Amino acid sequence: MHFPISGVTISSPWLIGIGLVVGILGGFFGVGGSFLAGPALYSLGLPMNFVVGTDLAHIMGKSVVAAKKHRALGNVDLKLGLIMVGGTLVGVELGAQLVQVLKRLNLTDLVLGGVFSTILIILSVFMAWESIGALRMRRLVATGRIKTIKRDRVHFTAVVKKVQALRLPPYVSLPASGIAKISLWPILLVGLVGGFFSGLLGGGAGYIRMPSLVYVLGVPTHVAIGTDLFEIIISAGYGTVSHAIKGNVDILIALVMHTGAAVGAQIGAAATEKFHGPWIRLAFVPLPLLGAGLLLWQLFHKGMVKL
Amino acid sequence: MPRAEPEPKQAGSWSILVIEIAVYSVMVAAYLLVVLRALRPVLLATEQHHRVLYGILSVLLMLGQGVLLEFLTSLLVGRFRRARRDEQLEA
Repeated sequence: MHFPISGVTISSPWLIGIGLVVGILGGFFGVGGSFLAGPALYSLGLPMNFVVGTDLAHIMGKSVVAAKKHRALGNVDLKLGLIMVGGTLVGVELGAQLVQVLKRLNLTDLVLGGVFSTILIILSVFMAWESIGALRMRRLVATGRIKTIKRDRVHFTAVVKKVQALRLPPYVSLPASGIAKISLWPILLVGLVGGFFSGLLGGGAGYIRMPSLVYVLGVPTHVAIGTDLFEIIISAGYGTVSHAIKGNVDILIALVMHTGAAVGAQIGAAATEKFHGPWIRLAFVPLPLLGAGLLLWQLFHKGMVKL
Repeated sequence: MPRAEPEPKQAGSWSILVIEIAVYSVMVAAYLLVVLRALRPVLLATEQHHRVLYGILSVLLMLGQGVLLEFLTSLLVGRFRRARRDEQLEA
């Protein structure tokens, strides 16, 4: 099928298939799925600036369905999500402006591909290390070597404690996330960083925001998943308009991909009911690595990176 | 230790999921055949001449598609649940 807006020809079943896979993974892990959708679109021949904008549009449509599912399961902290919006929107615009600068310098593929791959590899290593630590802690409880831990305790409690004890007013309470009092600023910062990567690399940047919610703010994994999806709707919605104005969105590709992704998101969201926090995080580990592999392979293939 | 029997509720939820997938598949085929081909020239012209409108249209189309698919599936799942309840009452 020819897509005249971006000028590429891509098979529709391929797009639907990619949408289905990222939909399942995204719905399950609470991320938009751009860690795979972006590299997959790039592998199919879509220029990097269109990958960023188109992926944002596709992720937004998919997240609406997934977020609604998670809201019904009580996994969305609406107050936290609305507070984060301020930081998210500023971050998205900063990221989108940087894409324009790179486009003028003709460096989009090389820089964005390189940054994306690096982030995905770091994320995989970090989540593997943390999840294994959290599972070990559970085993110690099970064998009676330590007394008890909360059901969804994370390995990064020291960072969470420091952030929650930060004395920088104004403060907010987040009962839905089990946080009695926290400064507003770390929440806005998490939104800003997530938004920046969303605007820069496409998708919802859930691969940054979801771990940040868990490891920095101390939000339980299931609530982080749902709240992240809510945030993705906002950031991807704004990012879609911003990138469309800059000529980086092929909405026809996004619509085709979304038809498959909508199915996958339903399956993924339903599957989260059957798994606990550390296992979800551990299962997440190989996926960003796969995305990074796809990107690096394309960069080598196009001769942009040479050994 | 003897393994516990799976709960009937779980089996039901997977059946619902299969129905959701079937509905979505029909939607995909219809969407690609009719809507997308009709939209192509309009969206191309808008992208070339009215970028702001194109951006707003893009968001609305994605939201509309997401909400529509969700609405149709929920409707069907509701009917399916009612049918199951009626079956159980009759039994």
